[in-house]
Amino acid sequence: MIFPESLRWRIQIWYGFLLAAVLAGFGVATYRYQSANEIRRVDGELRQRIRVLAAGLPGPRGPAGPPPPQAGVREFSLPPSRAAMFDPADGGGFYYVLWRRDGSPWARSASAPADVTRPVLIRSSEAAQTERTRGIFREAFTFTPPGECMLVGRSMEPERAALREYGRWLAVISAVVLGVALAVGAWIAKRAFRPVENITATARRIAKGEWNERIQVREKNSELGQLSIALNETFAQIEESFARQSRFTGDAAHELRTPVTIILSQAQRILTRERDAATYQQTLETCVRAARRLQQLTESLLDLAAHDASALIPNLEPCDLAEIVRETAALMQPGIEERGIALTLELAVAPCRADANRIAQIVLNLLTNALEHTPAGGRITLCTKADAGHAVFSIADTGEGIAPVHLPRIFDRFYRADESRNRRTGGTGLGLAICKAIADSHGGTLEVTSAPSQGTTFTLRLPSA
Amino acid sequence: MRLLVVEDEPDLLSSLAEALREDGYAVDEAGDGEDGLSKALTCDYDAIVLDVMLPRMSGFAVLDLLRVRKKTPVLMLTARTKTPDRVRALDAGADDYLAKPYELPELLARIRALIRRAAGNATAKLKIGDVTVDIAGHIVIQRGEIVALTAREISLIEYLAQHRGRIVTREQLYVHLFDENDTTLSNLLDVHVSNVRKKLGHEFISTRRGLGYCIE
Repeated sequence: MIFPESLRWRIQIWYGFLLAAVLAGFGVATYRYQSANEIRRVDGELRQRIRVLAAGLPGPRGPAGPPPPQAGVREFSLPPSRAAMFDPADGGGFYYVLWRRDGSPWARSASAPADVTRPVLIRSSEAAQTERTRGIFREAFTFTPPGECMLVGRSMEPERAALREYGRWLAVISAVVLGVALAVGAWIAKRAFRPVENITATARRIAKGEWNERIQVREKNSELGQLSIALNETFAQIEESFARQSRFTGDAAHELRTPVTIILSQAQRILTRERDAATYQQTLETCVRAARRLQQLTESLLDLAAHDASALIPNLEPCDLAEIVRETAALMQPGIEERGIALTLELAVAPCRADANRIAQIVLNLLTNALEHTPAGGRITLCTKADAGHAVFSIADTGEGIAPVHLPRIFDRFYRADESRNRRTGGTGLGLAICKAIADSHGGTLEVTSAPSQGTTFTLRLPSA
Repeated sequence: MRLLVVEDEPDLLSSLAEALREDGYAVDEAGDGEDGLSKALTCDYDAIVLDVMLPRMSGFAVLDLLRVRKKTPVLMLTARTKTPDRVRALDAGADDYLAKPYELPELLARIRALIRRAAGNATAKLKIGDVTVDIAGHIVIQRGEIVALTAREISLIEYLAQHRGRIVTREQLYVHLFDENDTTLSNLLDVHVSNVRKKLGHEFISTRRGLGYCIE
């Protein structure tokens, strides 16, 4: 048999089987008990009649008495009052048969069936009394001490009919009970599985793109409630990551289209008619600027994509964070001083395991960033130290700072606190995202604290060597 | 026709403005939303080309504030091309929408269409007596022949033709034919008008003393 895949129906079928087995077992047991009871009752009646018959035996009797000398020739007679007990018209349906010691028929009631045979004495040591079932007849017999055999029997037909009726009733009641139980079970199962159907339906809608759908949680502490809560949390995460992805692709499209638009619009305009050499020169310069920006964007995006795909496994080597910062700062120093900004280095040895080139990229990015946001007369402080299992690098500027609303998204790709900023500086809007990705790939962290008009501090923590 | 271009990419702004100037428009430039809005409010432009992503004030904010006071046709220009962005732009009061990177001929055609519709004309070819003014091709045809005209003369004819039957004041002509960097002397307008009359006949432009000019 192929079981249906539905859990609900599987439970229902097993439950049905189990209930049917229990009912059948119970029915058989009660039927047997009832049947045994009937037989015991009939046996009692049969024995009582054997005693009546025994009273009609001639001569001394009883197990203790010696056998009479002329056994086998004794005569048997039943007083009419007792013979009435075997009258077919009486309705009891009892009959008796007696055999002599040598096995020859002795006496029998008129109602006795013709095919009654003399029972075999099994336990000859004592006067045994026992019962047998022969066809539809139940017979009890006993052997007298001299060896004659007395048998009383009766048809079990009325009892059998009653038992059959009883069996039918049992079957009907069992069927009704089974039916009702299955119906109630189905109802309970349906109720129990309704939340599951609800979860499935919601999940389907979400899969179709209705990202803001959520499973309704009715009972928070039930198993399904817990499942729903867990699923809702998962859905929220997926939705958030899709939103971030969508924002990112939108932003990326915008960033990539802008230089393409410049190139296209410049070239289309210039080609409408003949121009002088200076105009061509100027147009080509603009196009080159736009192409450079495209190039920078593409490289940054590829860099990030590599980080996303975990394709960039940093080449970790023991190194001193202070050394990396010192070298990078030395590169930038002339430019910084030119702009009238003071650069302070507070570099303590900070050993770490890192890819020196990648970390230098972070330092350079953050330093360039700080430089853009610090007015002349300001100060940029670079600091490294070893701190509780971490090598820490921090860079603090005295620039305009970042408003609190922008802080949570500052590391998002293309996120800009000030829309006009990259227009002035030519940044891609990906610098901080790349820094963060590098820090993550090192198992480190990059954090920012800022107060508007007081300055911004970025802190990089790397696992120490 | 005088246009305003609001775009924050300096290279794109200059290229766009230059392209429009070469197509015969007087063009003002604005590099951010605030500048764009103040120019749009102080001058009656024939159309505005407005970028969406602008520093200081977004294109949508500019459009919102502009629409409180003016019905100037606005063409929105943006790199965000998803349907909700386009719908939002049009519902915010933009008259047209073009995605970057755009094709220059299409941009020019859309601007012409915007100006034409604003003036209530259904086609780009206007017939005035035996003269046909082709606004799309920037040519004027008289009796089957193209009339040799300077760019300024064509701009003058186009403006008057678009406002056919209405009296156009000298101030209006100054505003719509010259951009903010033009230092044209006032009588230069009279020179253009008289040159056009010499080429197309004296009665082509009639003078309403003390009021302005008109093409009947």
